[in-house]
Formats: sequence, C-alpha cells, structure tokens
Amino acid sequence: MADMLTIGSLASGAYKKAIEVTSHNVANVGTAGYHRQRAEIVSNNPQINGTGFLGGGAQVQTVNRIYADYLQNQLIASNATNQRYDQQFKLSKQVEGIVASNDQGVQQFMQRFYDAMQNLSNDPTTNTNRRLLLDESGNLESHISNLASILKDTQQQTNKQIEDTVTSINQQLDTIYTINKQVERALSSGSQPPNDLLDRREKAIKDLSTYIDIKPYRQKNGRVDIHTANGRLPLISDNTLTKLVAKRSDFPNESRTEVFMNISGESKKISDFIHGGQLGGVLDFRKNMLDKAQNELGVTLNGIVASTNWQHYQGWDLNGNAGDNFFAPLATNAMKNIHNTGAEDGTNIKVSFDPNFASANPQPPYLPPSSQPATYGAKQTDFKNALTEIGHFTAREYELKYRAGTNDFAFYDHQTGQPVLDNTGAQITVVNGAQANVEGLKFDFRNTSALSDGDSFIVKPHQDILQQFKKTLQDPNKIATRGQSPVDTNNNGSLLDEVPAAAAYGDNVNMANMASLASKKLLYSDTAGNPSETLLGGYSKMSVNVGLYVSGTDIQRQAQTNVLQQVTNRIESLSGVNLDEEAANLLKYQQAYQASAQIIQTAQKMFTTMMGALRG
Amino acid sequence: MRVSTNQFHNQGIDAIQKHQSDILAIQEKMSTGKRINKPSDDPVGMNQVHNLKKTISQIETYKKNGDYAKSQLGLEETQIQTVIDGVQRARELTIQMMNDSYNPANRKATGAEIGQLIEHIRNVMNSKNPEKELLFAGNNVNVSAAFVDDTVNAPLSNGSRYTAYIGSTNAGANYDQKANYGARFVQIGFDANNQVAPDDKGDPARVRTTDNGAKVFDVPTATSLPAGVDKNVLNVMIQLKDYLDKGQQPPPDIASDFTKALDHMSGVMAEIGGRQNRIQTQKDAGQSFKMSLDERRSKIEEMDVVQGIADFTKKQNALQMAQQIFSKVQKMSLFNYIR
Repeated sequence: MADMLTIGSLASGAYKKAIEVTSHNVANVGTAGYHRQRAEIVSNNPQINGTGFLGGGAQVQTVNRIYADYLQNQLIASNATNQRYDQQFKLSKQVEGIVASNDQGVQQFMQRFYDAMQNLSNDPTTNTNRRLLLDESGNLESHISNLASILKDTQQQTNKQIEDTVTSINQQLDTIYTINKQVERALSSGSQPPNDLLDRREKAIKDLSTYIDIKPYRQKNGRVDIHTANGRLPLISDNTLTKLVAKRSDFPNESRTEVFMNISGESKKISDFIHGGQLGGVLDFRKNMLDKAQNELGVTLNGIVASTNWQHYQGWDLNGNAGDNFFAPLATNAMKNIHNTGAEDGTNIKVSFDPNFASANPQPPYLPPSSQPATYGAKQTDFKNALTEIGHFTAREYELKYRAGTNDFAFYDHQTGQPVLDNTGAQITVVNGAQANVEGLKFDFRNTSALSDGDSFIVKPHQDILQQFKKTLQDPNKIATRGQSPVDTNNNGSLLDEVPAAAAYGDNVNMANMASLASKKLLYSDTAGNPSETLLGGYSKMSVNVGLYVSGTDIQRQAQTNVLQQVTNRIESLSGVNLDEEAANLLKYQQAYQASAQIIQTAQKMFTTMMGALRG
Repeated sequence: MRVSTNQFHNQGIDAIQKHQSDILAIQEKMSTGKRINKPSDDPVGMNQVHNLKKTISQIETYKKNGDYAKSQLGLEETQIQTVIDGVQRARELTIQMMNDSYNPANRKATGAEIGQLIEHIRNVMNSKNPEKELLFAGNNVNVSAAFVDDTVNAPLSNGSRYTAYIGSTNAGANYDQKANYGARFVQIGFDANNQVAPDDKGDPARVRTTDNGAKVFDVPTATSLPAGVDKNVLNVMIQLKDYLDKGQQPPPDIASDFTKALDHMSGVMAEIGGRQNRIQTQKDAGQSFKMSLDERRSKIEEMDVVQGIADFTKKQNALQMAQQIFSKVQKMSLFNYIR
C-alpha cells in the first residue's frame, strides 16, 4: 500500500541515493576515463482506486553510466593514430638534426674536401696543400664515423624501444584480460552494470591504444575482444590471451628487433602489420626514415669512395707510381637467415665495387705487379665504365634467395619484399658460382658453401659503407696529382693508343679532374644512363627526403591531435562531469530530500492528530 | 551543447600549450636568424639552399684559384719583363758595336758585359716561384734548370757552349719530351664537361698558369744561329758574345734577331695579360653572380626579422590572453554561490 509514509520514506531514500551518485561524480571529476553517472529515478506503479490512479512515489531504478560505444571506439582509434605520429615526430626530429642539419652538416665537410682538392690542383707540388687534402679527408671521415655511430645507436635505441613497448602492451593486455573476467562475473551475478569496473576497462583499452592500434569488439556477455592490425590479429579473443614477442629478426647478424606473434603454433613476424600507437610509430620511423636515410647517405658515400678512388687510380703520384686507394673500397658480405639449412653463412657471398671484373685489362689500383692496361684508351674505357656503374647505385638492401632448381640467386628488395628488376622488367638473378654487377655493385657467388633450396641472405652495402668509410692514403706524396703524359709518341694526334705513362712532375690534370668530381653528375642514372645528381646533390636528396618525412609527420600529427581533441571534446561533452551541473543537482536533490522528510513528518503529524482525536 | 568542467580545463591548457610551442618555434628562428634550421622547416627550400650554397662556395673557390693564378702570372710577367730589358740592352750594344768607330778592344770589353747579361738572363729563365717550382719548364718543375748546356752541338770558339731547353734533344741527358707540353690549368669558372685532358688545349673555364721556356724565349725565325742549335734568345746573345770576344763586328742578323725576340716576347706578355684580364673578368662576373645567388639564398634561408618580431608579439599576446582566460574560467563555479 502506497501511503504517504511509504512514499515519503521511499523518496527520501531515492534522493539520498541520488545525492550519493552526485557526490560520486564530484569526487571523480579528475579521474581519467571516468564517465559521469546518473541515478535513474522512476515513479512507482500507481494503484487504482475509486477516484483514479494514485501514484506510488518514486525510487532509484538503476545507476546509469552516460557512455557511448561509438565515441569510445573513435577515441581508441584516434588515440592510436595520434600516438603513432607523435612518436614518429619525436624520433625523426632527433635524427633529422643529426644527419641533415642546415649548418655544419655533411655537405660542408664534403665541400671542404673538394675545395682542398681545388687548392692542391692549383699548386700540386706543395707539401702543405697535399697535407691539407689529407686533413680534410680525415675530417670528412671522422664526421661520417660520428654520424654512423649515432645512427647505429639510434638503431639500437629503436630496438630497445620496441622491446619496452611490447612489454607494456603485454602488461596492458593482462589487465584487460583480468577485468574482462571480473566484468563477466559481476554481470552473471546481477542485472546491474558494474559501472566503475567498466570505466576502468575502457581506460585500460585506451591506454593499450597508446602503444598499438587495436579494435575492440564488445561481446554480448560483457567481454571485450581486442584485435590488432586492422582487426586481423586477435590479441584477446574468447578469453584467450595471445601476447606479442619482441625478438631478433630472422637474420640474427642484422641486430634488428622485430615483433612476432604466435599464430596457430607458428611464430610469425607481424611488424609490417602494425600501423598505430607508439609501436607503429617506432616501426614506421625505422623503416621509412632511419633505414632510408642511411641507405641514401650510403649511396652518396659509395659514390664518393668509388669515384674518388677510380679517378685517383688514373693518376700518378710524386714518385711516379700509379694512384692507390684513396678511401678504403667497399667490401662487405651477406648475412644468413636462421631458417637456412645449407652450410653457407653468407660470408662467402661478397659484395664490392668492381665494375670491370669481366675485363681482360689489369684492374686498379694499377700498382705492380698487376700494372697498367696496355693503352691509355683501354684505361679510360674502364674508368668511364666505373663512373657509369656508380650511376646505377640504388638506395636499397638486397635479399638473395637461393633456388636449387635453377642453381641461382634471385634478387629481392629486403624492405619491400619486391623483386629487383632489370631494365627489361625481369627479375635479376645470378647463377651460383658466378659473379655479376647488380645495380653498380659486384655480387660474387664464386666461393659459396653448400646451399639448400629457399636459403635466403641479406646484404646492406649502402649501410655498411657508413661504418667502412675510411681514408687509407696516409703519405701526402702518394696523392696522385699527375695525369697521363701528353706526349704523343707516334704523332697520330690521339693519346688513346699510348702506353699509360705519367705526365711531368708538376702536372695537375688528375687532381683537377678529382676536384671536378664535385660538380659532375654521377649518381642516380635514368634508364638512358644519364646520371641526375652530383655527389652533393645525392646528399641533398637524402636530406630533402628526411625533411619531407618529418614535415609530413608533423602535419599528420597536428591533424590527428585535432581529431583526438574533437573526439575527446565530444566524449567530455557527453560523459564528462560538470561541477555546476552537479551543484545544481545537489541543490535539487537536497531540497527533494528535505521535502520527502517533510512528507514523513506530515504523515506522522496526521497520525498523531488522529490518535489525539481518538483519545478524546 | 553540454559542457563538462574538464573541457574548460583542457581547452585552457591546450591553448596555452599551442601558443607556447608556436613561441618556441619563433624563438628558434629568431635566435638563429634562420627560417630554415633543419630540412623539415622547408624541405624544398632546403634543397635550394644546398644548391645555392654549393654554387656560392664554388664561385669562392674559383675566385681563390683566380687570385692564385694571377699572382703566378704576375710573377711570370715580371720575369719576362726582366729578360726583355736585358735583350734591349744587348740589342743597343749590338748596334753600337756594329759601328766602325769601335776597335776590337772595345768589343772585347763589351763582350764581358754581354757575358754578365747572359748570366743574368739565364738566371731569370731558370728562376723559380716561391714554391721552388721552375717557372719556364712546363710541368717539369722539379728539375734543376729549364735551360741547360747544349751537349750536342760543338762549343763556340770562345769555349762557351750554346744553351738548350730541356725539351730539346740538344739538352742531352737532361732531355725530356714532356717539357714541351706542360699546361697547368687552374679552374676559374664553371666547366661544362668538368674534365681536363692530358694534352688540353684550353677551356674557357680554366686558365693556364705555366708556360714552357721554348714557347716564351724561342726566336723561331732567327737567322744568326748555326743550324741545329736551339733558336732561343739566349743563344743569340751567346753567339753575339762569341763575335765580340773575337773582336769582330757582330753581323746585322744578330740585331734583327734581337728585334724579333723582343716582338715575340711582347706577344707572350700580351697573351699573359690577356689571361689575367680573363681571370679578372671571370672574377667580376662570379662576384656579381654570387651576390644575386646570395640574395636568393638569404631570401629562402634567412628569417625576416621584422615579420618575426611581429609574429612573436602576436603570439605573446595570444599566450597572455589564454593564461588570463584560464585563470578567470577556473574561478567560475556555482559552488561559490550556494554557501
């Protein structure tokens, strides 16, 4: 029976609860991930009597959490993207400053190196000028080696960061997994939603999206499944937890940490599928900026080393000996995949710059006993060919796959996994046991150990030159400033048929030509074989690419920050606590509570009035 | 729209942070004076700056090269002038001695003076630059002399020997064919093919700084010398001394050969002067080119300070405004009124 007393006491109870909910909101105004709650006050069923329906008062039916799934999903998605670009931006800015700062960068050291050559070519017999050139090459060398060690550190830093992020992801997955279970238990024991537990889970999911891009799938029974890689890879599914693993890539000597996941019992590399969160940011930075910058810088350095050496081979030093190596020539080898079953570990697959290995002429440095080609013309032809091959350098890493059927190696781009194509569009292959020039570099497979079908190897010639870049010429008198002798012994008007011989002591032809390498277009030939960049231009190209990456990332970051702000605003607008609103509610509920109390008092007064009347 | 208390807070902080990072960016550009400090500031601009800086630095190098070449040529010019002065003196003496009013004793005395002149001129022709390189030996700069004793032809009657340039077979053991070439080119401008050949004949971008002695001091049409002897001006003087030592009148051929030699050397001087002018012209052209390049570089790379200060003040005002609004908004609360 809904009499006045019941109505009054129910109402006061209801408003007390409402005030409690209000207080809870006020208390959590600063709690991250909190959604405001509201006491749903409903009127009780009315009773019919003669005069009509008489209301039965009010009570709190449930405590509602003001929350929208779609907004929360948007928040998770935009948070992951935002964190990715934020991470990319921080890391790339750090590298940008090192490899491509406007002042005192590589380009200045290169310029000074070539200026010293000009200086020496003015006055080729002076010892001071010779020493200056060696000093400047030393400066260039030490600047490059600083750069290389910083880039190597950055490489290791990204490895560490990937490991740390994966650890955090796994911890966060544990948390969600545990809350999932608690939510399920809470829901099965009652029909009321465990609001604050749900908030904590949403918070945990959002925190997870800071590290990696995820998609939550909310299940009927209150569980949330978490998938990554655009929904393709399940992390939490049907209460099964699959953790990520950070470990060395399949090429152990590469020292490169990749993200793996156990998919149907097999450990699979998933680094390429992760596009969001801090992890996505680090991976993208490493692939599209760090590796690329190193490879492009490497192409420039390989260009400097090869062109300087080859021009130097053309000349003669003060003692009348042919020019030796100026810089240490590139000499590197391949690294094997741990899944390889053959005996070859990659060290017998050698990569170097040797453009004329097929030529019958003696190859440089033209020092005894191999000595000079028969004629100056033959020597020039080999030299021109070397410059042509320099134009073929391409900034990439090679993956070589052995095919037992054809007994050859197929060339792939290690970064993209795409085949490396020749001019006709066919994939480049080299027969095992042979050697060949591929994109300007000689790949030598002559001394390979036993191989099995499918064995793969990688080689990074353009990254390796960063570590190998070194001046080898020490004696200033050994700088080959003199060119070919201008004497035309048979007076036929051409020097090409002459036996290679040194010009007079004070000749500067070779040094002038070395200095001119700075202005000569040598790198990045088009299909017609015309080089498009000078050596300094090759460096500029790298720094422009670095700049475009950073500025592109910055634009994305700003856009994503705006998106995130907008989503956050919408969530705040819907679910955030407004203290003024709570203050108003507090007043309202307090007044209602006081009024309900008054009802009880009135009922009691009425009762005593009645009692007093009866007493007479 | 419903507004939550956190939104006030977030918006305030976001605004302050945005203004602060803007101010930081302007601060960096203002303090370095550069609009482009790293490639991402303007990737395309950075590329242009690299190219401009490279070109400017090349022009600077060419200017330095030109200065060096000029000093080298200046030295050569002075030395040739000294030889010209000596030859003129010898020519005057020749013409005097051709006069019948001098007796053999006078001629012998003059022969002694010519002997001094010969030594003087031989010295100049074998002179070296401060780097101890022979000036007139082509690229054979390191040998002991450019003009040595002729060991092939017989000595003259007074016992002295003719002189031979080291590029002539008359130099005997000192003979080196390479001395007849010798063209050290110094780059003073942009070269189209960036290439020097061993027997380069010259190139607008490069200037020759060495000459071989045969080209400078030879008198190709000399008639006073016996066949087989190097036809250089020194040998004409040696020949003259021989006549005088014997007390004979020098034949008119000698005087005319001296005239030819003077003409030839003046020609060489003019040619050297031409080279110096070319250097100067290149340098002037380079400097004005450099100025316009530098102006472009500064437009691309450098910060417009006025604009920078204006931007800075604007952002500073915005930041102060945001801070004030933040503190005001934070004071707004209904709780303040319901006590």
